Amino acid sequence: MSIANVRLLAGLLALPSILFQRNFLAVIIQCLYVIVVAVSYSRRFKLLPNLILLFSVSLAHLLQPNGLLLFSIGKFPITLGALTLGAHKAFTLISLLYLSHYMVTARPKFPGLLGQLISLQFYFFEQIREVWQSIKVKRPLIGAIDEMLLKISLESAKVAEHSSPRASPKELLFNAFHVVALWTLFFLGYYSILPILN
Amino acid sequence: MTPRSKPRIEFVALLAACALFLSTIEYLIPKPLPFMRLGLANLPLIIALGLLSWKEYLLLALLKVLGQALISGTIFSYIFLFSLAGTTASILIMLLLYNVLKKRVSLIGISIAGAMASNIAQLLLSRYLLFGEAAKLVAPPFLIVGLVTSIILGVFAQQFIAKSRWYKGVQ
Repeated sequence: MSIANVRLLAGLLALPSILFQRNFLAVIIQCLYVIVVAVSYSRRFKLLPNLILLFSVSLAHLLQPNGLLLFSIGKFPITLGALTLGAHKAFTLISLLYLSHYMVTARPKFPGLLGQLISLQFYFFEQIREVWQSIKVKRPLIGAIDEMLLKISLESAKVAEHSSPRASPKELLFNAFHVVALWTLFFLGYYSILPILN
Repeated sequence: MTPRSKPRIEFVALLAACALFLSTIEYLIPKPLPFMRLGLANLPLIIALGLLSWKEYLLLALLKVLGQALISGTIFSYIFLFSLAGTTASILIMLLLYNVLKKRVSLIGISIAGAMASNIAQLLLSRYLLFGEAAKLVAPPFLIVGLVTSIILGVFAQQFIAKSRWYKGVQ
């Protein structure tokens, strides 16, 4: 099996362990784990968008008071249940985002007409990037885009076949470990072995 | 739109690659919310209205969504759902308007309608996936940004079609 397919499969197998996680602490640990895995496969991690998502989703849930009242800002109640519910949802979404990053790190190839189209699309994408860089005068913009499209249309499409190398036993082992680790965290949360924070 | 039995896959792939190129430019622009987009990648979709059959157009939309998701690594995440919902709503409205009201609505009008359809679909999705009832709080800025950018995109598309030698060649 190719590396791309191994990562895709490992991600799909691990997906339910995040999606159906009910323990708040476990979902935070799963989130950190998935981020570390994605970063170890050369994906970029940006703190700010994740913090914005965490705060905005948590704040949105505060509008529906739920559980223990922590304090009030004027007449607006800040409740523990609403905060943890929002944060739980945000951590799940962030985890799924980085799991997705990890799943496509080796560029999986899709079969059939759609696969052929996607390959062609990426071929033209590389062409556009190259030609765009080679165009010196980019003003007026419409003229520059027009020049680029005319240049690319003249060339015949030769799709560079991209094949992912076969997965080594070490690669298989690492990916299996990620799946086991994420499911272990799921069961630690499911059987309340990890403390319940909410 | 002209009826064709076999999709011109190279031409569709070229337009989809343009959408991908524009979305990478957009990726560099910071956004207050992860799914909030300027919609630069919709430009090829607006321009392609007069160039593709409906089958080719649907393929282009699918490629745009898949390509964006593959390049940003979001294909198995909630962001992909937002992109798919937005693009689907947008292309259906744009196709309908372009084919029914062809001469009576400009590309600016079509662009605005597409953006509004896309934003409403994404807001409905965010109501269930992210924000609950609070989704109505993000609706005004989201729709205003959509309106402004769709006007700019519509004007740009109209100018491009009027001036482009490439467009005249492929029409």
